[in-house]
Amino acid sequence: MAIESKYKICTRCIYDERVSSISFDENGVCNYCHQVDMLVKEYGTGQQKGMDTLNGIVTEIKKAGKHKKYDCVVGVSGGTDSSYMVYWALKNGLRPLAVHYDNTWNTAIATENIRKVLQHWNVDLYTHVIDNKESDDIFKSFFEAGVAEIEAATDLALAETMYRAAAEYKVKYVLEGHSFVTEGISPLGKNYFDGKYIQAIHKKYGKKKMNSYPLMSFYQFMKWTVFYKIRKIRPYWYMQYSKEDAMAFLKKECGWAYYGGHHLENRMTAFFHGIYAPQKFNSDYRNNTLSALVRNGKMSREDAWIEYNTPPKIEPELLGYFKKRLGLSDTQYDDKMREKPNFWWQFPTYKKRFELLRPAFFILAKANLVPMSFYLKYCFPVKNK
Amino acid sequence: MITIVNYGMGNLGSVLNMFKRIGVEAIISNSIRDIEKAEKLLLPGVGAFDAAMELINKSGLLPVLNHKATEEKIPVLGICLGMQLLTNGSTEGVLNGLQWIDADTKKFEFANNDMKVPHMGWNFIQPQNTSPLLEELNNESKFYFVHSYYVQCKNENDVLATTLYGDRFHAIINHQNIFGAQFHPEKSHKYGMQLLTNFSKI
Repeated sequence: MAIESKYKICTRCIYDERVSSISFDENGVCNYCHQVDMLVKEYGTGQQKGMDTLNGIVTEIKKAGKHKKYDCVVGVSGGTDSSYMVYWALKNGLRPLAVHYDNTWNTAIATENIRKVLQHWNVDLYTHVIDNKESDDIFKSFFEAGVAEIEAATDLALAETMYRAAAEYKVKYVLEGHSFVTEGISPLGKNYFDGKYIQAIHKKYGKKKMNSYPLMSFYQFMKWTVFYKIRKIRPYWYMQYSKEDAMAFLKKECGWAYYGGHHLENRMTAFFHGIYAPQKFNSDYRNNTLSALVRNGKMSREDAWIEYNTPPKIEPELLGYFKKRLGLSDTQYDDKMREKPNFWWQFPTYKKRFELLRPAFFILAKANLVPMSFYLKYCFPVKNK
Repeated sequence: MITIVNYGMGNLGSVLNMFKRIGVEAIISNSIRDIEKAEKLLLPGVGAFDAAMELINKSGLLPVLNHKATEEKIPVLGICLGMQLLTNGSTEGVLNGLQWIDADTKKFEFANNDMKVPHMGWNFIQPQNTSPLLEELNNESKFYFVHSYYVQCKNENDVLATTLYGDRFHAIINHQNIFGAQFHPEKSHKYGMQLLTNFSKI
C-alpha cells in the first residue's frame, strides 16, 4: 500500500519535506536515514565493533572508579531509556549513582517509576529540586518570550545536576540514555539553547530571582569539561537496544509503569510535545520516534503515517494544569498562542563564543569531553535560519 | 519620480535596480538642480556616520536637502545609515545628524558580547502604528539587516515598527514626511519591493 500525501515523503521512513534541512537521494531516501546508517557504521551499533568499544569503555569506567563509592552517574526521568540504563550499568558490573533533576512538573507515574527502579536494584539517588515557584517563573518567561525552547531549562538543568553529582562524588563518567536508533537525531538549526539563553530570557520576562535553578553558565560548562574532565557516554549508541524489550523487562522486573508515549513522563514535556510545538510552531516531533520505529522494522510506514496524522493524545487536564500553574487566564493564554513566534537568535546566547572557540571544542570533542554533536551543532554558524 | 541622493556613499546601483524592477521611475543624482525638482527623496547610506555627514556637508547639498525635507516637506526615505542620518546624532561620531526626526543613534551593546554585532541577516518587524509605508506588511514580513548601530526615537508615535534583537529597537520610523528603515529594502526581496512600492505611492 502506498502512502498518499501532498508532501514528498522519504521512501524509507516517514520524514516529509516539512522537516528542516531535509534532502532526498535518487531513491527518495532522506538524509536523516543516511545519517542513522552512517552512525551505525561509525559506532558499530549492535555489532561486534560496537560491543568491543563499549566493553573497553566499561573497563575504563571501572578503573577510574576504583575505591570510590560510585563509578558513574546515570540521569533518570522515570522513562524507559533512563530506567533501563540503570539496569544496564548494574548488569555490567558498574556502580551507578542515579541523578534526577526535579522541575516539579513530574507526573505521579514518573516519580513512582524512579522509586520502583531504584528501590528494586538498590541504587542511590541524588536529586536536585528547584523551588516550584521559580520553576514556574522560568517556564512562564519562555512562554512569554514566545520561543520554542520552553523545555530547555529542564534539559540543561539535568546536565548541570549530573555534572554536580559527578563532581561531588569524584566520578568521571556520566551515562546518558539517548539512542539515535530509537529516537533519531534532531535536525540542526531550528532549536538552540544554552545557559546564557536561559538566563537572558528569564531576566527579560521573569519576575523572580534565579536562586535554586542549577544554571550551567559558560564557566560551569568549562569547569566540568576541561578542569574536572567528566566524560559523557551514550551506551545505546554502541549496543543493540530495543525500547520495546526494555519496557517489557522493566514492567516484569520491578513493576515499572508505562506513561503513554515518548517524553510524556513530565507534564511540561507533555505540554511541549502535545500542545505547544504542534499548535504554535507547527512541529510535531512524534515523527522522530515513528520514523525510528519504521527504520527498525517495528512498524509499517503506512501505520506510522496514519498515526502521525492523527492528532496527539492529550490528557484532558493538561492544559488547565499548565494555565493554572503559570497563572494565565484563558484570554492571556490564547493571545500568546496566537502571537507570532520568536526565535533563539533574537536573544543573547553563547553561540558566538562557541563559534570563536571552535578549534578548542574540536579538541574537546575528540577527547570525548564534549559530545561530537555539540561541536557539530553549536560551533558552526547556522544557515537558513 | 524618486531621486536617490548621491552624496558619495551607499549602494546606489542596487537601490536603482530595485526601483526598475517594481516599475518606479528613479534617478541617481548629486546635482542641486535635480534635487530642487525632486518629488521624493531616497537617502541611501553604507558606512560610518561622520564620513557620511561630512560628505553631505561638503557636497553643498545640505541647504537644498533641508529645504525639501523641512519646508517643502516632500516624502523622504532614509535607509540603513541613511535612516541614522535623519536623527540628531550618533554615538558612532561627533557630527550632528540632519535632525529631521527627534531620535538618537546608538551602538548595540550586549553584556559579555553574547549577541553578535553587527546584527546581520533576516529578521522580522513588528508594526506599532499604521502607515501607508506599511501597507501589505505585517509581523510575518522579513527584512535583511546589517548594522551595528540602531535608532531610538524620543517620541513613541514616530515608531512604525520594531525588531527584536536582544531587545526591541526601532526598525521603521516616521515623522510627518520623513521615513526611515534600518534594513536594506533593496536586499529584502518581495518585502523590500513592497516597502519601496509603498513609498513610491505616498
